[in-house]
Amino acid sequence: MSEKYSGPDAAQHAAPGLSKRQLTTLLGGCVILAVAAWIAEVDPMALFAAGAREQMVAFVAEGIPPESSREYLLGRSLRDGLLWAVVETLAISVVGTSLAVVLAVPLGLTSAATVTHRGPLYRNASASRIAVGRGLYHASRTVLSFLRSVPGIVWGFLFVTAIGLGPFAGVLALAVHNAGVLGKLYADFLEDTDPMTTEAVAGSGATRLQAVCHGMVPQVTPTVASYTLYRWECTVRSAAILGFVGAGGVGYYLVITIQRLQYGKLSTAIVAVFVLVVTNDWLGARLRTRLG
Amino acid sequence: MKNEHTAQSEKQQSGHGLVFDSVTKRFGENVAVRDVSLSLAPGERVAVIGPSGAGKTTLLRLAAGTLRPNAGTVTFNGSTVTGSAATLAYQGETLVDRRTVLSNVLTGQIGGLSWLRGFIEPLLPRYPEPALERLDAVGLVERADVPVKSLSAGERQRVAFARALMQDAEVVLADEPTANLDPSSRQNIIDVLDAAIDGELLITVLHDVHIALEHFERIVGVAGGRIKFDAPASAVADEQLEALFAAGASTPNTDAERTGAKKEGGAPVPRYV
Repeated sequence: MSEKYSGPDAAQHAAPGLSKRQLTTLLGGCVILAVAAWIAEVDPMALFAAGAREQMVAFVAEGIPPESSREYLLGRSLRDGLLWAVVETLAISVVGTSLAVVLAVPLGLTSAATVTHRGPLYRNASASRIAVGRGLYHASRTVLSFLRSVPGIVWGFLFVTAIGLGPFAGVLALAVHNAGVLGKLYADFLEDTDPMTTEAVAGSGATRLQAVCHGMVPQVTPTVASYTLYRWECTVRSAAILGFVGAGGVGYYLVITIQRLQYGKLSTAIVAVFVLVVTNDWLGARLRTRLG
Repeated sequence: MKNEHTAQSEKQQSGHGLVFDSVTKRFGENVAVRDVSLSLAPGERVAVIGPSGAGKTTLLRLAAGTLRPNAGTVTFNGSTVTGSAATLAYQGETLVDRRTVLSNVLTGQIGGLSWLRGFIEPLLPRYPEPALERLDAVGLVERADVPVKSLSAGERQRVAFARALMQDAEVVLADEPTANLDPSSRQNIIDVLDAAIDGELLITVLHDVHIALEHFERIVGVAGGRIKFDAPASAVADEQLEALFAAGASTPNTDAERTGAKKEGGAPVPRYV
């Protein structure tokens, strides 16, 4: 083993280390990062400027100990206090995600090319049927992109303006934004199913809709359930900031305490969000393992 | 298996049995089946053999009515074939993995149900008797409530037969039923198929020439989208077989790659376009 290999194939094996191509990729990445940093006005020295340091020290000093009065945590009535806001955040995320699924399922189906116009279900379809399917596909993909590209907090602002302050605006905001996210995921999963399985169901004389329901959909249900749960974990984090625009939840406490410079109350709220997110991640992971 | 002679005379009558009349099927530039005429009588057991990309699977799909020819006609007893006249047994891997054997077999009859019942019924198997009967025919009735993913390849193929038999069609088509099976199960699966069908016309695409010659009375050799020979198994000469597979070697395999490469040696399956 100690002898150096010098057989006929020795020259064919690349020497260890970076290849020319890898080196180019690496350099290119560095250039992009540098340009992005310049655009983002990155200035590490700002962290050490005199004012910044004092502000941070003040924040830490005043944030400890966190506010723990009964009135702050529990409030004066049922729908009051920080703990209620945490529960409300969770509730917004549960209802918001459920509503998102209800919207995403039909949109996902009409955004999957294998459902609308491509693949084994459309082998004998007329050209006009395929054109209609393609039109539907593009239209619903566009709707999904739009829903997804408007951030949840902007939807929250719009719904607060429309229906007034409160958690229901937050529910709608999460539902609409996540319908865009989940709809695209569902559509991509449906496009990635085994065409032969769908064809076999269609081959037994099933209509297209039946073949989709009994051939295509059962192939994706476990993945869909798992990703939906994962998305629910993400919506809990989004729900935590919806309060910034008055759409309910614990975000209201974050923004109001910052504005009033009540750092003790702010750190309690941060801890509450932290506990909420960690618990939720743990719960989501457990549910997903159950799904197998 | 003994009705060869009556079958031979019956098939001369036009419009009786399954008839391919000058059938051509193209996929874009590629001609998968060229001007094929073929007549098959009820009760016959036919094996279609040939190299990869010969157009065997396309022929089967045309017979099942899931593909329509670009030219010519495919008829059964005088009328254009439909899903109700012919049933195609797909390969075992086309079952829905997470569902039970029973619910997979029940999807075989969706076509016979109204759309609303077809929508709901396979989810709520309230009338499982016909499916259990088919499962009994392939010897799997005791595994009815097991999810398909826990079955062996041979068992999956048997479930696929049961699913196809749910349609009570007069023509039973099987697409490479021996694919992905070990040699001993290959013999067995053909025996199961033999036992399960009852007087229907059986057409099987086979990769395994020996099994075809051993178990089927009529052999149709296909290469390059054309029929090279059509003869009783006892009359097929070795030279004919050699010529068949030599001719196919030079033929482009684009159709098989698009539609059924999965079964032919595990080549990657490109997405449908």
